[in-house]
Amino acid sequence: MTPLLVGAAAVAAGTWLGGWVALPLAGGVVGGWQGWRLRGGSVSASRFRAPAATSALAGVAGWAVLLLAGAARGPVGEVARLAGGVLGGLSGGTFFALALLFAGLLAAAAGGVCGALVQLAATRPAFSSPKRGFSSPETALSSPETAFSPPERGRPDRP
Amino acid sequence: MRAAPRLVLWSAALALALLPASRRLGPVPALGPLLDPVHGLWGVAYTAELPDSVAATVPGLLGSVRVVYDDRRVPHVFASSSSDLYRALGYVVARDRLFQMEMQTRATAGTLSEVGGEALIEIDVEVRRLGLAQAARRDFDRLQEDDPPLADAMRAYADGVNAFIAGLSPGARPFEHHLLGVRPAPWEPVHTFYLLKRMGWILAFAPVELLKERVAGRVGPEAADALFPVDAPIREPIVPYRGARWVGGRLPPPVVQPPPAGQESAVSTGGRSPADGGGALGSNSWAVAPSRSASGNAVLAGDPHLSLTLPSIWYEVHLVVPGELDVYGVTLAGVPGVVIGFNRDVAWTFTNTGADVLDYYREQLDDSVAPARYLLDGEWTPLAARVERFRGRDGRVLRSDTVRSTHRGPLVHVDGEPMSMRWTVLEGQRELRFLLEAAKARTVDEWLGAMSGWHAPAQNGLVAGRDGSIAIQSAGYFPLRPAGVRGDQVQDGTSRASDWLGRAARFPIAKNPPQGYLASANQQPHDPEAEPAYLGADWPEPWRALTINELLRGKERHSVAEMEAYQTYPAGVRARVFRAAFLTAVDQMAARGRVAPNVAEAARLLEEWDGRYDRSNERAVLFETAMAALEDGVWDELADPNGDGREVTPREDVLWQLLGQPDSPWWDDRRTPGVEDRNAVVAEALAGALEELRREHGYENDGGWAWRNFGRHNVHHLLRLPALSRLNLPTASGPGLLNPVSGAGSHGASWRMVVELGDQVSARGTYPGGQSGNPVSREYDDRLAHWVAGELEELRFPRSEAKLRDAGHARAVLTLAPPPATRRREEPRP
Repeated sequence: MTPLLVGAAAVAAGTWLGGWVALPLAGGVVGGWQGWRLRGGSVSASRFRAPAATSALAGVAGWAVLLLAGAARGPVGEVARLAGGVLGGLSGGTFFALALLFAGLLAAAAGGVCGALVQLAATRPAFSSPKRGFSSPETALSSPETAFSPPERGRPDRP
Repeated sequence: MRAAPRLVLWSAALALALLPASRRLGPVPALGPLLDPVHGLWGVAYTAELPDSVAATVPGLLGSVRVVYDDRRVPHVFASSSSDLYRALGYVVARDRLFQMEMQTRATAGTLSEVGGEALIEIDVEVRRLGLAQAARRDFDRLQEDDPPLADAMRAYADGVNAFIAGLSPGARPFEHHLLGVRPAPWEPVHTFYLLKRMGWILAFAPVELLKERVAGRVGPEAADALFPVDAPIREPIVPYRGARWVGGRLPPPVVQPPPAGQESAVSTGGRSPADGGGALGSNSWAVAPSRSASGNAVLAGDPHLSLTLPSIWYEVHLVVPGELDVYGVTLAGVPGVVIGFNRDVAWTFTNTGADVLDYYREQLDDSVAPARYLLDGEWTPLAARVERFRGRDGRVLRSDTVRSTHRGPLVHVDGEPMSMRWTVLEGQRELRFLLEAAKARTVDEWLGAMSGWHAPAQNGLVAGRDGSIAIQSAGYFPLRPAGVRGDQVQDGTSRASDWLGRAARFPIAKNPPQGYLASANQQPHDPEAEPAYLGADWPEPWRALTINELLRGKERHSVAEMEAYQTYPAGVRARVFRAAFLTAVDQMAARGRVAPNVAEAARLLEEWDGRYDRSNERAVLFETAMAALEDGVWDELADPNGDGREVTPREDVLWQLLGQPDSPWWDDRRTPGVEDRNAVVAEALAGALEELRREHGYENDGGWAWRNFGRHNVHHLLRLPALSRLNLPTASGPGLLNPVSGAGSHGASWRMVVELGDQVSARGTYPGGQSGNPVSREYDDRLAHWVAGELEELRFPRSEAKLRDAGHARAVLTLAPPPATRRREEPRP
């Protein structure tokens, strides 16, 4: 949960301060972080914890929080209804969903890139760490599923 | 999957996701900035409603300005100087109508394509060829020397607008700016003149000579003159003369000529809906003297008709500078003052005069493709030329256009022929000065004096005073033409002998007439018998003028409530006249013993009609459908060679003339082998209307004929986005009524006001829309229901902020102050 919560907070804070451009940046950082936590390993058996998935959820959650906060300040639902109507007769709910989907996709893509970059770096000898595979003690302890899960469930590959 | 292929895949996904996020794709705006929950479209929600109290700074203010919004979101601006008032007004109007201000400016400057893309370029080309923006800049440059205080007022207003823009967070930008993905453009002082030029284009661009030339080519010049007469055949002039006069006269027969091949229509009517006749457009105004009002006070009513838009063209304000100004009314978003309204002593309103202030001159050029000179008094004279560049959203030049002009004005091509045009709207612009002075008038005479220099667009200004006086004057620059030069004909451009000689010294005016009232509905200002001087040739049909006068003559004294009801009175003279004509024709046929059963049936149903256009009325549609069929039958000579409709439809008072000539050759439908007379065409129209209605809307008592299905208004958003528009509003409106409706339903009463000038001025009014331009706000369209129902709302006209509060009408406060540094500078030195 930690990367997701921290990522959602980062997306929300980044968007608040810097606008939508912060969304892929925050998504990338979250993805990179998650990739670092999973460095060198395969996440094929644990898609919900993949860097891209974590970033996507962080993006969706971050923007959902901001939209909920906005709803307390004005008729955000009415904006969604009108904007949906202008953009091809969509309902307000669909427009909301579109916004969250957009946040999820953008963050996921950035998270996927950064996660893959970190994992790629981790698999190269020049950048490899003696402790590769176990990652940091913090990761190993805080994420027992990763550290102790059987290989068939997506345990990181080891050289 | 290994990391490397994953990297490639996610990189591709990121690139694909970033594309719609950062760039507009066709009609879809860039999704990133649009959907951003903080800085994107959602921010519009936060500014929808006014906060109870808010403060802002405006550079240049000399002191603090209090703006108190009442419960109708009307800002009451209390300033201590005119300069501060204009700044505050600019800020306040921008707060509610920023997008509208920008669009109006762009529409005049011809830069719509810079925000809307290539699709709008033809509109830009047309407006730049007219040179409205160049004319506005010339006028403003001149103004800085001729009237520096007025130029300062425009600058102060611009400062206010720009202060609002500067303080605008990205999320708080107008909804439409988000959709278009553009930032609000700064407001320049000259943009006020842009707006006034645009009003001139809307109200005073009537190339009647081109229309008549076209018609003359179809039916001969004599017939064209008769179909579009200089003097109206039914006269109820603005300046009272001898009451309503139905002059008529015999129409000369058409000399039919084949339509020129491949020519585009000058005016195409296309199909005609049941609600599309009778001079659908126009404005109304009337005032009664104390001797004719129920209360013994002068009462003024006005409802200017314009294109209906959301946000509305008007914005209500109350402006106060103690000891100098205390005026309430409507302003145009971009004009630093009240255009129509009242102060403590006088109330005023306008209708469009419709005078002929635009002439065309046929030119000879030295080259048909790239001309550099035109022939003038035997000499080749250089053309002025400028290159206009049209840019797209990305700033790229999409097209260039060389615009040329002669000493008279812009050079245009009409059906391939080069013509120059002279137009008062392109010359001189001091209307703002007159409006600002008129708002301070203490008497009717002061108001008339302030407005006497009015230039363009020519307006019938109606004014009533607390002292009981009423007056009307048709003010404007009315060109004085050389003897023998007709304004309704294209002139020879090769000679200066065709040029205007100056401005006519006299204009129509009436004050305190014995009849005790004055009324205007854009009709011919003078009865030509009383004043034969040429003023124009494109007068609207007289039906509204006749109806107003009939209502006002019909009763000795009129209350405010009655005058309010007159503005949407659902019956009129037009329907009575033509209904009687239909039934008379059928009676004549019956006397000769030859009425087909379906014609008799239609006549019976028409006889049941009470002449009203209430929403539930089930016979008005039969009359209007028959009127449309009658016009189709009689004006076959003017059928559009390129389409189904007519190239142009003559006025209905000419049709009335023709109905008195049952054997006129005009009645013959040349598309049929036989020779028709009036009765045959009337019978065909009635039978055809009945058949069409039953086929398309069911039988007469099945509910499908209810007028609410036909008399509808459409209030389009400025971008014509349906989601932001209010369409198909059922109104008690109809052709030729005081509450007219056009076929598209997109024109109508843009503001309705009734003011009683007693010791305490009381006023009621409304317009089709709301004060806020924010479509999320409840005040975006909160007045629409009142407007549709024909109801006016009480206008708050407090003498002070405290009075507004005491009455419980104050809702929100905006305090504007100079920036801290300015305040420190202005503190008195010890």
